[in-house]
Amino acid sequence: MAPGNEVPDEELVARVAAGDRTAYALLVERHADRQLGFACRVLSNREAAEDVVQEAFLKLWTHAGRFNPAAAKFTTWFYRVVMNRCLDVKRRKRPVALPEDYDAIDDAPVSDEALAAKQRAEAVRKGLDGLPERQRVAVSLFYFEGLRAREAAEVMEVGIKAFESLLVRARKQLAKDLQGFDG
Amino acid sequence: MTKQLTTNRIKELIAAYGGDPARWPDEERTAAEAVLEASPEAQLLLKEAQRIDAALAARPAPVPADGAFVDRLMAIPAEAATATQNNGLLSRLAALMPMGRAIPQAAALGVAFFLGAGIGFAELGQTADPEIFDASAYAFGYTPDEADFEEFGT
Repeated sequence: MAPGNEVPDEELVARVAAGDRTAYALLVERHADRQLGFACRVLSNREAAEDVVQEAFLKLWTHAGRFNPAAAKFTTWFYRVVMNRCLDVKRRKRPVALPEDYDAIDDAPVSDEALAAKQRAEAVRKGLDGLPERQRVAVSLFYFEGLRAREAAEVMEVGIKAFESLLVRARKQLAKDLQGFDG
Repeated sequence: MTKQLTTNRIKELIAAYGGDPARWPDEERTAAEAVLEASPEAQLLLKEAQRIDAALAARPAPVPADGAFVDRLMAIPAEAATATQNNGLLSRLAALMPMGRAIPQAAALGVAFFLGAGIGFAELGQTADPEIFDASAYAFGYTPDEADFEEFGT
């Protein structure tokens, strides 16, 4: 028998549907970090991201039987579950003002270069936070999660052209936000 | 067979997917790289796109899941089994859903409200003073007569 890590996700999901807790635990080990990172990127809120991922794993445990391996890879399906939940949360909740010291530039003396890098990072963070939600999801899936364009489009249930268009608009906005910060 | 790409399409690829051709769609990459080599304009756009790529890549990665969070995830099957045994929607939500943390407090508040309201009404019934009743009734322009009391068996 091959070690657990070599069993494909799709097979593990089938086992989860039959109530196999070991298979479920393996899926947690493989995907919890990744999905939490994705939810954090989309929501910019750690606690909300943890709640979303917890709900996604609950859905995995209770609805694994609904996953259709012929229709999508497990990672695509699971990213979609997390993405949809993130979008629900974002639509339902009014944006919460970040604490004043959140990701802020501290007063400790730093070199001009380090200061410029911090200011640039701050501009990127603000730029990403300010993107419309679907553009932000597209950027997160493609640039941060490293999904191929076609898979990311599949997660978002849009055509490849529509996905490209989301990325183009997002990058245009980010380029604007980064004007004045030399690379 | 690789398809021919126009310079415009290269510009679109750069605008969407950025300055690393390795991230472009596989089916267009080889043809795109050939056009790119021959187009100084596209090369300039590529450089500009790499500036944004670098800024995105510099974003710190979110802190990985900690042990407590992973434990919460691992506990889901056991908690789901308990919830199913209890077979109560309220307890299932409270046990499993993150927002369910608020349910016990909400339930306690509800119980307190009904207890308070019940005691309040009971007190009112025991201490009802006809004069107070009259005053409040008159305030609403109502004058009780004998028939009212007969109807309610008083």
